[in-house]
Amino acid sequence: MIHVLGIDTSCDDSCVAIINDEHKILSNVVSSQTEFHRHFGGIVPEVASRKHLEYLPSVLDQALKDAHLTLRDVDLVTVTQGPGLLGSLLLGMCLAKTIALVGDKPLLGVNHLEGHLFAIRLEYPEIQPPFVALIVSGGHTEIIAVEDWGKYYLLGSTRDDAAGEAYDKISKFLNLGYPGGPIIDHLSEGAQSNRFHFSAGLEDDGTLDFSFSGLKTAVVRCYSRLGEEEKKDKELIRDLVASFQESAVRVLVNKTFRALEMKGFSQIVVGGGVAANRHLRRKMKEEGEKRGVRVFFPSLSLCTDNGAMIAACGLFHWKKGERDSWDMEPDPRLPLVSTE
Amino acid sequence: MKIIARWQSKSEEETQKRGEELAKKFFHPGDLVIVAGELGVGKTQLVKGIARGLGIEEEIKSPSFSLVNEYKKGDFTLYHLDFYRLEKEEEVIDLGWEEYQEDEKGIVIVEWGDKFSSLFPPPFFWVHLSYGGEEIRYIEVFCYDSCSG
Repeated sequence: MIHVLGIDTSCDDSCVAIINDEHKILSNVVSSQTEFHRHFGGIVPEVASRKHLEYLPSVLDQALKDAHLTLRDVDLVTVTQGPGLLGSLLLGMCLAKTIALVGDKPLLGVNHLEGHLFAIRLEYPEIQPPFVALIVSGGHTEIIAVEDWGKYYLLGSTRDDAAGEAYDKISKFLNLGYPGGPIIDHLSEGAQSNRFHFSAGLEDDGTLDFSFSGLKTAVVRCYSRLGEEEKKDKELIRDLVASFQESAVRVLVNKTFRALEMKGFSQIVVGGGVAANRHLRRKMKEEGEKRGVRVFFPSLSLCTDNGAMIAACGLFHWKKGERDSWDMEPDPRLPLVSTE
Repeated sequence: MKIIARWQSKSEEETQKRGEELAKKFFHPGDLVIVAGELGVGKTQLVKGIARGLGIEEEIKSPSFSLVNEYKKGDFTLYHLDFYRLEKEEEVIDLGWEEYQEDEKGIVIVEWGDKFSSLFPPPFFWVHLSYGGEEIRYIEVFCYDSCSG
């Protein structure tokens, strides 16, 4: 049995996981997880690469403990090489190199976006490409044609703000809290999503690209024009964010299915933090059922950033004989390229 | 401090054009540019124009989440930073923005830089965007201490 260690520090969370070569998750620890925080003393994560330095050793310890393993039992070390924030990537990379060097273990760098594509494999091992993937989070909004594992074509992406970023910024602007995704999703349940009409940007432009900056501005302007009494009207604010969500989800669903038609595929995989959004899940499923298309969503802990998906992706490349050397460096703008 | 430009913009395209004009007229390697203004006023649109004016061909995307995006053209680098998500000075220092500034061949642009303006010693450019009525945006450009241009 092979044990694969996966490390991801591409953004705010320190993530370490261990899987085996049958894609069984033995442990999956993320620094912002409530269980971990309780253990660690309830510290709220900050936006700082130095935080990874503080969290990583404990996250690693917890991952080993949960898997009932020691570092000696690890057979392969995989780590996110990019894209992400350089300072954060460096710390994950440094940890991975240290473990690999000290234990004389093979080392493999993984593309974070490709990792998101592999998350689905951990729960649905039966899924075989081709499929269209929508990766949607605070930092990403990408439509990717997965012709085969290792063979990808980027079909579309955002030209300005990511979808999750629009959620966060609107939520913060309206003083609803952070993170915006789950808050707006929750407030929108049962609200009138047709009370306001927002254009989601690039809706009918014929491309598979997105633009959420204009939608964000439209919502902000709409709120600013409200009277003082209206601004205090909780129902009205719920309708406002529900109307925003309706537009955002509409363009995500429409473009993903358009991509599917273009490629002639019959499966869709959704990943990234926004894949946890209930409205997006509902609309994707509805549209899928209408068209006889299977739509797959990973469970929440595998939608958001995690080390298990990095391990799964690294395992695939390792089996193909790929290895990285000690002078591998993080790349904040690492592109998703095919290895086939 | 002196004001070097003041414009009205009626569209995203116009804001981009003003950014392009700014880059061509005023900005040089080694410069620091702070872009301030409320949410949705067009800061990233302006930076898209600035980048075009500097000869960057890549699509400029919001760095709010990634905190910093780098765009290269030859040995020139445009560092596009965004302090929107940052709450403490400590986090800004941790981001290592000073290292970006030390690149004399690069230009550093900081959206929401006004949140931590005390961290910036002049000289720098300060671009302020604000909402006018309806679709109108005001773009004002200030120069603090011996700016080039």
